[in-house]
Amino acid sequence: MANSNSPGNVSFPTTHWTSVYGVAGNDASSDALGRLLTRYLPALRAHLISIRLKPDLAEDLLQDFILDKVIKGRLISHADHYRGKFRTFLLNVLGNYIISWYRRQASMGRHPKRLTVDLDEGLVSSDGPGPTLAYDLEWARELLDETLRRMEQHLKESGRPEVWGVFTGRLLDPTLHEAEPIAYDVLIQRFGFQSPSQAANAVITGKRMFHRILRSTIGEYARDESEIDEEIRDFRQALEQAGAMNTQMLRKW
Amino acid sequence: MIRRVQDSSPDVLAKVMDLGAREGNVWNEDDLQAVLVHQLHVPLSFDLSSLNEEAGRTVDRLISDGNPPLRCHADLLQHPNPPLELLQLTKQFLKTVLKSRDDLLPRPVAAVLYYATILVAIMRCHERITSLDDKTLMAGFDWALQQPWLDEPTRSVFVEAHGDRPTLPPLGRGQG
Repeated sequence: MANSNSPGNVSFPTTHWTSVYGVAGNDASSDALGRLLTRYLPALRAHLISIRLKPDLAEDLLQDFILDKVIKGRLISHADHYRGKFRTFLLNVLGNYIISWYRRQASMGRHPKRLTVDLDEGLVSSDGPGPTLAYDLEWARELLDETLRRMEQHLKESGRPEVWGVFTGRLLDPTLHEAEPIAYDVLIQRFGFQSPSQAANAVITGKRMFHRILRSTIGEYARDESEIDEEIRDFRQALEQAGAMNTQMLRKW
Repeated sequence: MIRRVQDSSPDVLAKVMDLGAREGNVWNEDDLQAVLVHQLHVPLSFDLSSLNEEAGRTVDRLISDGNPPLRCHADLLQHPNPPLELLQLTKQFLKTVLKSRDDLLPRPVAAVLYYATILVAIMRCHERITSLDDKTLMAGFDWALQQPWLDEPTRSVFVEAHGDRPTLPPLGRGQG
């Protein structure tokens, strides 16, 4: 039919952080890990806020964490012996770091209670999402943002803006913004499809490409295909759980 | 439009995460007429050559012989003496589309064109190019005529048959 290209048939070479660990302090592993942490920093921040740490202190703690664990290469050495999921590993390391950080603050005369937000300050609710859920939700948000950013960039650079146009016009924008899908007529005029099958092919390509990039983005920290599947299942579950909670409460953190 | 993943609720994010797995055609009821009209003007050689090489050669020959011209599906459906072979290939193409999992054409549009092609073969060539039984065939014609998004030329094909119920040629003749 119209387009014989295999829809969504594109690969995205990435640096997998676990493929380079094993040599603590290795530049490549630190770079890969640094990129991952930078991308998912909002998830770590959400975790700290959800345990009621004051925002400015959460920021200080995160900076210390990055400096100590990433720049000095200590996270890599921990990871060398870790066999669980990267997200869980990161949360565990952060949890341990928080404990030692609190101890340091206390030794400097800063009382731990002054480091946290009181519930009656209204910034955090006692019935808000738990720390793990906040972390998972923010991670999923960054993951989707990154997936869409890569997809748009790839399609524009590879000269296929029509796939991005149809994907956003018919699928993404109606989902994200509850926008009316762009009419078929408009898409035909805008992108010059010669037949309905060409337009449908663009839709199929867009859906498959989104799926592949989502998986490859997770694949930068997951060890194998089954862990990628597990991650997607976990995110679905977290999003459903968070969706069931009061949306107003969620936006406060 | 600015993407708003950062501001979206968990419910919306869950739907975005599933976009790659969403099945089915994305065109809705409002798009069907536009899709139909677009499909009617797709060159026959463009679609039918996808069947196989021989079909492609046959189509090229039949199209070049067409008088009036036979460039697209609309020309074929409105032709006073359409070549039976071309109708058979077109029906075969539409059947393939209807069986495909890829939804390259919305199923209602493919079905309307499928029944219209069979009906034109009956009305103008007095040949039955399908093995569907009379009851199924008549139900298909009636269903097609009821679709509110039909364009006028295609509707006229079904109206013509509806007003003067065609005598269906017996099964076994000219079936593709």
